[in-house]
Amino acid sequence: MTQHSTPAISASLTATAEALREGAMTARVLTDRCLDSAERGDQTGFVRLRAAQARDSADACDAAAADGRPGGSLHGIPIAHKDMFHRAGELSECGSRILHGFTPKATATVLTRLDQAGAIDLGALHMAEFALSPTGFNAHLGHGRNPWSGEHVTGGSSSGSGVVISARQVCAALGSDTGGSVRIPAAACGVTGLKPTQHLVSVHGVMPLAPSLDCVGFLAQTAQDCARLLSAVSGPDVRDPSCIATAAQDYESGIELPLGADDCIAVPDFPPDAPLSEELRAMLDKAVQVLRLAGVSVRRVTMPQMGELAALSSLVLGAEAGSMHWPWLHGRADEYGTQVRRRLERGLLYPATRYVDALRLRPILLRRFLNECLPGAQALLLPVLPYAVPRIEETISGNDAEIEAKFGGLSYWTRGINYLGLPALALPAGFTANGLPNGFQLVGRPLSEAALLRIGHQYQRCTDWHRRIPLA
Amino acid sequence: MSGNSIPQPVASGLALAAASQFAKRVSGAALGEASAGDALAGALHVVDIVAHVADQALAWDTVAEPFGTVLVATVREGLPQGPRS
Repeated sequence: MTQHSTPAISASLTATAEALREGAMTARVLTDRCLDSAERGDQTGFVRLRAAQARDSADACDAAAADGRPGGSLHGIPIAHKDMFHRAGELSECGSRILHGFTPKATATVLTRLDQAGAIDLGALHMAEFALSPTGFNAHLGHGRNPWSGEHVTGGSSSGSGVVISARQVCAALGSDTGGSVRIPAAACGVTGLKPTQHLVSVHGVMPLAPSLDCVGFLAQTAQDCARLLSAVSGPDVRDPSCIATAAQDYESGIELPLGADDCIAVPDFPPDAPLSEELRAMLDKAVQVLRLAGVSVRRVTMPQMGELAALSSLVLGAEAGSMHWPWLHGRADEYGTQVRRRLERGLLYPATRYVDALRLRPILLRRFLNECLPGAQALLLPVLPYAVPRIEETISGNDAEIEAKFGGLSYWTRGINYLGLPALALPAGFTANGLPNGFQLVGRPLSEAALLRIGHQYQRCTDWHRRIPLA
Repeated sequence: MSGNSIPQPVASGLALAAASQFAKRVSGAALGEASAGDALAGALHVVDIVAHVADQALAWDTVAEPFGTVLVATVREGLPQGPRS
């Protein structure tokens, strides 16, 4: 195991918030501890710290508390953001050379709302270049290195987000999920990750990759933490016309309700040739047993056509990302990392007619999936990764086609869910033989985040995988 | 929708040549022969799957719907007394 500096964070976000509220510690002390940990840390988590701003915010929180002014739901809580969430006047480089030095003029809505809730943003996190890798690889910044083993990938593209939660350097990390980029690093780093329903959370001020698929998400220690974070950022946003939220919502109330006869999860019958290792099949079986013991009933369903959904997702992503990057591909192509450039160039080859087909198919396939895979169930249990977290070396060896096939394999179980626009909660569920964590995801019906978070919370009351930390 | 009248090997050769020219024009540099071939093979594989699904599921008059509206509609559809669209 990798040697680590002493974790700055020992408790979950919600427990830490309670400790701050009760005066057990000050926001400034906690912020200093987190900044010290980040500065001494040997993992690829932060790319930039905003230490002075964070300390000022922490001091303001403490002053408000001393004056008896009520704090927000995230009062004094240290967080960090994937380096694609814009802050006016501060760098936002998206893991790239092309946006090196880019300073946006506007702040992302989600960052503004987290600020308003009292969160302390410590800085920007490592990510795959332009959010285009499920391994966490970045040709310019270097590989994301898993806190559980420096030789293994973090998962991506929200690589730094997975690292800083796993290493307990902050309480929460913002990520984005276009094809699995919150859930994959959550599973690979042994933390909890939430991808909300498509268009639920404002994407204003967030780097677009494929706007039909892009989702703001969170990584944190627990489902309850994710519930509090989602509550803090929820609500309509006039600056994001695609946002379907009609009102802010409290996703944490009701989370403690025990599971009972009305609660049901669907579990697919995974055929022998499904891309799923024996280790992970066993892990999923154990997770189902725990959920049964927690009170949920289980319904077996046929496996969804994940291969087809993955292809549809790839086409939409390729076409839209190709369009977004067209100006840079024409003239600045050499400033991309080779893998990212290849993925973008492939998107340029997709016919427009097939892209329109993919959009026309979306409502049909969504309704089919809900009818076949979620009949009378609140959630469908699926893997996140098809196998144990790979070594970095394994993900970069082979020719281009072999590497691309590995990328496709890593996001096989996740990117189809983006195509369907469904919410998904990734939960840690154990360790594979190589000593790395892994987990599963609960996929819900549209706008069913509260149900997913409640099931996830009750699962975590029966397990302790989410409490494990990579100590030496 | 799917299938064409051009013999497959000719179509592949034409497509590869077109892809290389297209990529060269866009990116300012020619894709290497191997890369162009890989990129095209990968793209064709995805397109073939999408074409297959589209052939099976799309009617002549199926149109793309605003997806946010669809997501909200399915919530109503899932309610016991809700109207079905």
